[in-house]
Amino acid sequence: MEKKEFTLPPLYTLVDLLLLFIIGAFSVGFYTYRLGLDDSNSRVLVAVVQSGDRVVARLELLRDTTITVDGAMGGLTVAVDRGILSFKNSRCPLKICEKSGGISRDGSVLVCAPNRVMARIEGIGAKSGGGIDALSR
Amino acid sequence: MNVTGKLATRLIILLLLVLLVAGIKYFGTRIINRDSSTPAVYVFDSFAMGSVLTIKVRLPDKVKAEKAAEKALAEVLRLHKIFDPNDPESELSRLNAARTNPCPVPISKDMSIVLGEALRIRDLSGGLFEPGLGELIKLWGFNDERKEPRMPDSSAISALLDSLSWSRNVRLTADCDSVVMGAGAGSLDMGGIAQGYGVDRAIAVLAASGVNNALVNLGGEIGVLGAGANGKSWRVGIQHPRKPSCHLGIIELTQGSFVSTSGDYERFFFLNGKRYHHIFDPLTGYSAGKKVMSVTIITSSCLEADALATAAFVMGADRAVEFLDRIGAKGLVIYPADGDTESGNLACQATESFLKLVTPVLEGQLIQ
Repeated sequence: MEKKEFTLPPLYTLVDLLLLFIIGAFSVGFYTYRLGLDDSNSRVLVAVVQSGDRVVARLELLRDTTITVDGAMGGLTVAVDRGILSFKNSRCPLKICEKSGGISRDGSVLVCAPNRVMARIEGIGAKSGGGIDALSR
Repeated sequence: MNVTGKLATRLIILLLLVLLVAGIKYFGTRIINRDSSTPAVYVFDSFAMGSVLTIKVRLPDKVKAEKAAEKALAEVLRLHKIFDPNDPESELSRLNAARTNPCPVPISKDMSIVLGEALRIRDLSGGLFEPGLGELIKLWGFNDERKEPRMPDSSAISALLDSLSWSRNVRLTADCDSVVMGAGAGSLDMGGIAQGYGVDRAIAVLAASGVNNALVNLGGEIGVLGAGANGKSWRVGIQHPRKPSCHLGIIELTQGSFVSTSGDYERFFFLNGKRYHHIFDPLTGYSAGKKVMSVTIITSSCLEADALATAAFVMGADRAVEFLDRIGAKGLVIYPADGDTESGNLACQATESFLKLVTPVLEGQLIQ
């Protein structure tokens, strides 16, 4: 009886291996590139809170936070709620800052002029700033 | 290849493809909305003249940018000391104190420039821009942002009305280094014009410091030098008068042009459902009531733009556009489409020259 030689076929053919290599390299490269871009610009949107000429806080908009800032007219609450920063409990007479609502976009600014408190959103995030450098108001 | 091997291969390929697609979707969202600002635009915020002063400088050298911004800030603070109506030591206060003096009162070059322009716009607008409203502004309580404005008695307003036109007697001497005050009962207030001058001077100081690309924003009065991020034009939004975080259109501002906006949303209070704001009609003594919500002006100096925005606001939409066209200024007037300033339904009139410069955005509804 003739004994047959039986060899198992290779697990991967050359074409399979080539395809795997190309896709894998592309995936790794893509992730690395995107992460690199992300890190080089900014992690998240950050609100820079300033009282007078002094920066008093940097608040990540991804994290709900409430702080009190000492302004020229007393304490002012700066609240971040679901990505929106607003001023509350201001002691300024007209409360224009509270009526202005909240800000959430890169580059936008919220001001309480009597208190000399302002917040500017900086960084890279999900919402663009509308592509403007300044707002005439 | 056996069946198991092929299956494993296909599964791995599928898994990698899924990961790749997921990666594109997640990171793609972040990238698409990435701001294109370059790090070379440095932003400096401060408080001056009762507003936020923002100076953006595009320079490769941060130290040089800081020094230039500091000089510009110092210039605006210097002007604040001249035009602050609440500081008894300011030049403006001393001038008002000398209003009964029949002799010419010496004034600084800055006061001469600002007062001269105020008087020019007053005459040009038929008195609807009025620099002599100091006492009226105090009566309403809009002179000090730390105090609460209130509705004065109508008798007190009536009593002041007669004196509102006192500034018609104010005049600069021939060499413009002195002013004859006119011996009236009123007082000067440069709140409607001094910020614009502050922007003009800040831009001039930045230019003298060797800065070629910069933006100055003093409470919404804006001037620029050169270009912004990535060498593109500086882009200035026009605020929606009822949605503070929205803008109605975008102006690509070039060097030598300045933007100023006056709106009824800057300082106001409600009484019996009616909005009372800080822009006064000199003919009535009350907040200008021609149903205008905001006026945006583009001219070759911020000093002029600031005064014209106030004058056009008081005029009302129809007269304002005709007036601006006549004097060659570019302007946009926003007013309620249904006559109700609180409904949020906006309409606009603009000079043709203005519409050529503005790109409307849907976010804020309007324009065209």
